[in-house]
Amino acid sequence: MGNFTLLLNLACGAELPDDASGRARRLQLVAAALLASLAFAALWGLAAGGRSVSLALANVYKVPMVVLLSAVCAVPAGMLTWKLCGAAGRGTDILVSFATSVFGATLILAALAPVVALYDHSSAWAGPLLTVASALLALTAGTMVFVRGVLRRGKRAILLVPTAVFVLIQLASLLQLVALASPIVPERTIFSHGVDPTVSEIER
Amino acid sequence: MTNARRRRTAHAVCAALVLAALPAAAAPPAVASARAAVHRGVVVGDAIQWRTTIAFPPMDDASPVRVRLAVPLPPGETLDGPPGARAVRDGERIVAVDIDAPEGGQVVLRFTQPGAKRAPRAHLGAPLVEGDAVQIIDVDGDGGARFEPDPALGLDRTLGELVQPGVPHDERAAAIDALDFHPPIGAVPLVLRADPAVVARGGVDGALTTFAERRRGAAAGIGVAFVLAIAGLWALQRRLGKAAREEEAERVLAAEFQALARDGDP
Repeated sequence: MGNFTLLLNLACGAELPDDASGRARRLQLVAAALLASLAFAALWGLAAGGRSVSLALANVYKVPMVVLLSAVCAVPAGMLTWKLCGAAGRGTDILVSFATSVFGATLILAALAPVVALYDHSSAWAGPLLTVASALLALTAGTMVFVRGVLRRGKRAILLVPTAVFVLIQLASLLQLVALASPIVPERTIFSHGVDPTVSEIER
Repeated sequence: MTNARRRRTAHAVCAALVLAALPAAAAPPAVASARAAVHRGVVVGDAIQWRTTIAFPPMDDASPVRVRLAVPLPPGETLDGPPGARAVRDGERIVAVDIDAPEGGQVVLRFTQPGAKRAPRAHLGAPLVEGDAVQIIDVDGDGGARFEPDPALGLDRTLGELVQPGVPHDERAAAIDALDFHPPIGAVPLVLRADPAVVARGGVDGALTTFAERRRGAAAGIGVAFVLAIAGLWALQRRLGKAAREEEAERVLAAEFQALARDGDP
């Protein structure tokens, strides 16, 4: 519970407490945030695929996989960019901000899971829309939490460059991982087949 | 000249005229050579619906032409249109198409190839035109269908195209311009000529796969990566616990020493 409260406070923009000044403690927080995100993502997955038992059960594995692997894909490029930018500060600062943003975004998914499940079962029109909207809301909120965390802890505008790389790489990975894991929702969406049809659809 | 001789001469003249007229009536239309062709296949269920656009060199639009195919189409493939086009068959396979009047130097033909996906290896029934015209084949359709040609065909994989060696870039560009061809994003069209190698192989073979079929291999790899990532995070979490406690103890000790030092200062 201590870690959960601390991560929640960090996601809300709080400064790292004194007892989290060590490298090991910060990395421990990163791991805890990502592990907690898996549980939240699984909850949303259950709700999003709730109309079919097999899909709901598959989502318990698929949605956390998409979240975790997209986050893991973003870390090397983001950290390299941070190093190349020569920004002062500690690498664990940006890592903690990134992990808490993933934590915050999946927490939003988990919080919206009951209403997603309710609408998915009761409305053929609003259910799928709400499911996609909740995912987009979580992405937007996660990005904002990340940017705020980085700027508040790093206090350097140059840190926006690695932040942008983190976000872009995660979104790029997310798009293809969603395609590989689809179906996540019973309906076919423009994200179901990856970047090619998505771009074609946007162009059209 | 006697009457009998006159009659014989008249009969001979008539026979010569009839014989001269007969081949003209039965003669097939002139064979037209294509400048370029695009074959767009859309996979619908097990079938491929082909829409072939052929560009001809400047010609008299009013005259009927015959387009000979480099390779007979697979049995069962039918010509669906346009109304002025007729299939020329050898047995049950289409070997050529007669066209009444190509308008504007182009013609659009539609074919249906049934059962294209039933065999483990797909054979494309794209109506490849005889001659050295540059031809483009593009297949898409149900479930993100994509065609991967047999490597034995020897096509070079370039950015966004699979090109037969020896087809120069400017000819490809000219064919694309002539037919106003815009492949959808993500498509990898085949660019080739119906050369003797293609004819000897009987056309274009390969694998026709859906997105779901293609991602199976990737999904297994991603599953393994996911399990490893979770295991790594779990191990990291456990291992860092001890180090974090040591860091905390050092921090508390350092703070205590600092406090002592401050208290000891006069």
